[in-house]
Amino acid sequence: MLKLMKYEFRKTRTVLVVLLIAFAALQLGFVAGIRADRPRLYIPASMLTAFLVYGAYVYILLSGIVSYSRELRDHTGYLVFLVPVHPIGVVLSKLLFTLLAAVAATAVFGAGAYLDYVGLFRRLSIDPALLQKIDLSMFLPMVGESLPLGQIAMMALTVLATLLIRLMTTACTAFLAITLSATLMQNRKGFLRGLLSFLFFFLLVWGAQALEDALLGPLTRAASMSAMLRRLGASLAVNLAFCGLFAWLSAWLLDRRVNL
Amino acid sequence: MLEFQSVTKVYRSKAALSSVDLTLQAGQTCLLLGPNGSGKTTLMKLAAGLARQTSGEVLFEGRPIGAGSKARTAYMPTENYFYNYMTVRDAGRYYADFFSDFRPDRFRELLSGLELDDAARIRQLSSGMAAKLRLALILARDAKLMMFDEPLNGVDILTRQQVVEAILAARSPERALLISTHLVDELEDVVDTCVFLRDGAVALAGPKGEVCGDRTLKERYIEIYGHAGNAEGGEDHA
Repeated sequence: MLKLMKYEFRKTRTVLVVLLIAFAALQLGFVAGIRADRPRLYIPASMLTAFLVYGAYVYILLSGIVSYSRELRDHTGYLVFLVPVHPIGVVLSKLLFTLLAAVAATAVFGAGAYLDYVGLFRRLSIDPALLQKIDLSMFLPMVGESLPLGQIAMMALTVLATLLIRLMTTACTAFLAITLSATLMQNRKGFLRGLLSFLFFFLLVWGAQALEDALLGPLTRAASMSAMLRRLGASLAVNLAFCGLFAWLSAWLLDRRVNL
Repeated sequence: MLEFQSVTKVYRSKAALSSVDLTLQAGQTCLLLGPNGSGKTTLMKLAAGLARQTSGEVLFEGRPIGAGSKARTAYMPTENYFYNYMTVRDAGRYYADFFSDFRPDRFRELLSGLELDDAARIRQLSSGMAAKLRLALILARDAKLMMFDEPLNGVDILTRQQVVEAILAARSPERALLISTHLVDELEDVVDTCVFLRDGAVALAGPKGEVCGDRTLKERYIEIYGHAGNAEGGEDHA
């Protein structure tokens, strides 16, 4: 599985290098703008860096999904399915690589964007601590007025973990949708198969969300901070279970119905 | 070694293979013959684990096709299946990474013998050169079963002899070779077993001497496919 991940990286290396070059260019532009005191350079650079954080995350996620779809459609799939690796290894290698690359890119670019904004605030003489003074109850009316620091940190960590797991769930759902159309609908033509993949994806997303809500209740009903934390933790566990189930189902379908 | 038991494969309501029974033993060199669409490639893909049969069983050394059989089976497809970034050397590294029976030194020798530059990008190779690379990757392995799908496709007349000799050199008592081709003349002397497929079913199969008698493979091929209904056998499976 690790060897397959190595080749996933090798396949994606050029794209990752291009993203890194774009990031480096934006950072150079920002630093040069700050030094030369040219707001027309450093403000767009910092904004574009923030866009890059989100753009890279979405792009890597999509390219991982598209790459998997291609392996089940094009002859390059032979490289993956001729080697002695069980289909679960194939699915996990692609999923984990997509997740790791998306998280790593988001972390690196996100750190850059954060440093840019600290620099920007200093340049514009805005106190960065101002952000910390913003009343959190403005954003989270359900959590009440007093927020112990430990609970805020726990909340932030839980939200971050939930986002990561949701990213993985999205990728797993897309993988299962593609696998369903490539195996059960293998006799359909290319366009129809693509359309069915989308249809399966939306059905699975809707079904998974409906099941989660039925099991845990809607998130908005959480009455307190600790209730919300418990709800998010449970959501994390349910999403992890979906990930495992969808990855296993994809591998099972490939094992039984692969057709290249 | 390789066994097909009543194997049927259906694509879009058309049977690519229909109730195929076939056995291939170690030491055999088997030629798979038939016109386009007769099911040769499908049969090989099932044995290589690139597709699954609709019904029946495909067994390698008594077990269903899976990761275990893939480690001991080598398949040369007709198509190029490498990633765009790959050079000839990268393809060798890929095989070395995944197949413990891959011999990098033999791969280098084969590249040299087939006049392939290991720094060349695969997507820039001519179809003949790409076929040579696919052949070198298969022959550099010590696989128990080697399958060649149209190994002479796109290969010029001068190189064909090289390819045939390379395949000949791979024969061994512990190994079975399964070769599909339309160019029967070149492989006439290489094979000991023949399987003629028609519309996904085995039309005739058996040792070459029994199947062809005193005729050449090409003459037998024309008899079977050139005159529909004149083909002998149907139950005479290997």
